[in-house]
Amino acid sequence: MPRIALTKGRLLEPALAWLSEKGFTRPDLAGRALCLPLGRGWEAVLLKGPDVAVFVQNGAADLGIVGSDVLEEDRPDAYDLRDLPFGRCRLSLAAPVGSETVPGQTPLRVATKYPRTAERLLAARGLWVRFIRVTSSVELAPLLGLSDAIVDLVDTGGTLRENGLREVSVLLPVQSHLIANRGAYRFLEEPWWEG
Amino acid sequence: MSAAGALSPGLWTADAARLRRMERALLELWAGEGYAEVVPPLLLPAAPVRAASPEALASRTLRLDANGEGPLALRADFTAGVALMAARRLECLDGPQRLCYEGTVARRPAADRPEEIETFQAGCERLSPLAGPEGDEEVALLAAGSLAALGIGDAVLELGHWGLVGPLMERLPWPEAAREELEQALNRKSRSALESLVGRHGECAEARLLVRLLHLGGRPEAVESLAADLGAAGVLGAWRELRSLAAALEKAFPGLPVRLDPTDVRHWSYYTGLTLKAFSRRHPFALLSGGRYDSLYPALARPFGACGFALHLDRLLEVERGRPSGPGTEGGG
Repeated sequence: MPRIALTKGRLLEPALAWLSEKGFTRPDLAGRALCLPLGRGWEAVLLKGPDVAVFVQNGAADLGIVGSDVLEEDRPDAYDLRDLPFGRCRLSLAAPVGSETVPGQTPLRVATKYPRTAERLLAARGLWVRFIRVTSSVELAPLLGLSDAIVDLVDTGGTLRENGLREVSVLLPVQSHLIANRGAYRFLEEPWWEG
Repeated sequence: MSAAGALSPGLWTADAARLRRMERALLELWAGEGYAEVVPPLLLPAAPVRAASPEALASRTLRLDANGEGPLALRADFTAGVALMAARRLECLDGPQRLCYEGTVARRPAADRPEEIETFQAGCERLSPLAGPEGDEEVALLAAGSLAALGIGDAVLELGHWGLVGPLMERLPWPEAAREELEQALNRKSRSALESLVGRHGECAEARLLVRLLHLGGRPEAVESLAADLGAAGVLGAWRELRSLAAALEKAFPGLPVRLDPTDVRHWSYYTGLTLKAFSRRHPFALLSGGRYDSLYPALARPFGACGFALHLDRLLEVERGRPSGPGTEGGG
């Protein structure tokens, strides 16, 4: 049975709505099942974003819906079939309100879930940076002295403001993408994802 | 992943028997078609191997320092080893050479991608005194015959051609720095990445045609509508070569679906004409890959043309076991 991996969290609802528009059935999310029937002979599996890329790359899922932040960071060996009309936000550099963001004598300490992407984008701007990889609650890092700044996803900016941070620079626009396993792509019967 | 974590667990009896059965079936088929077996060395001088390998493969070649012998390379594919042997042999001056091989290759695991260092390959090389498409049909038919000999009943054979896409890429009036990003966009079939490049560097007829070719992925007759544009772009010859090859394959192997996908080429600087890949529903990566690489032997100071393919036997073993998908990347080459 063909399988699509969906990113849990903020991308899940819009992904299910988009799949409904394509003729799929909305699965029951009330239980704890991670593998759900979608109709049309497909099933969905629910994963964290980086795992969507891993599952698709290795053929455990035929297709996946994942943010372009994950694609930029992990560069999975998979096809990037199309961008999707949801999940739009941005990857930004943020720092505490009132702070000096580019100290002269020491590297800027940046906490992020995206060290490779951040390094590439900040190096292009000539910043001297040392990265600290964290996997959750990135906004805490400058508040507790772990870092001078963060690189993280920003949607409305509300979380930054609530934690005393300001958006210094937008590094990359982000949105959802549909990706495909290289082998499975050849055997998908119809390109239902187009249009 | 550490190198130790990527070490091969080896093949125990049942898998060893499967591997030998596959190798025997292939070597028997290829011998019947006039392909003689060669045994390329496991250790090769590093410098010519680099000259005879696509960049992506060269970066994954494992190197050794053999105490005064100079830097050596562990065999990362067979094509370079066969080429180094053939470039020294006088009989290769006349007429095509038809060669085949089987054995182990070793590659440095790709960064952050857990995969084994050692894998098994078997394949064919057809060398010609001159470069050009002569022999492409023979090699494509042999590739299809190899899949049939192994009983891969659900295989799809996919054809591409550098001559369809390469000239378009070279004529794009974009800065050289955009080239790597362009190759990645094509290889990932990323329309958004390609359109982003168009937005930054300018729209033109070549870019529009590349976008249309990106998701061609269909049966040959399904893309006839592109013929006029391909003709206007001066790449209709390559298209006709592909059509002719597809027709020959469908006649000889009516049960084997043939697809065309000219943009999905892993090694743009390596292939010079036809590209070949085969897939099965039962495995997430290509089971066979190859094509024409006419710049290989000139890099070794011999003017031969060359075309060939390799079967990824470790993946075929997984298909036979019915347990596809150890982690990995398509790799190929």
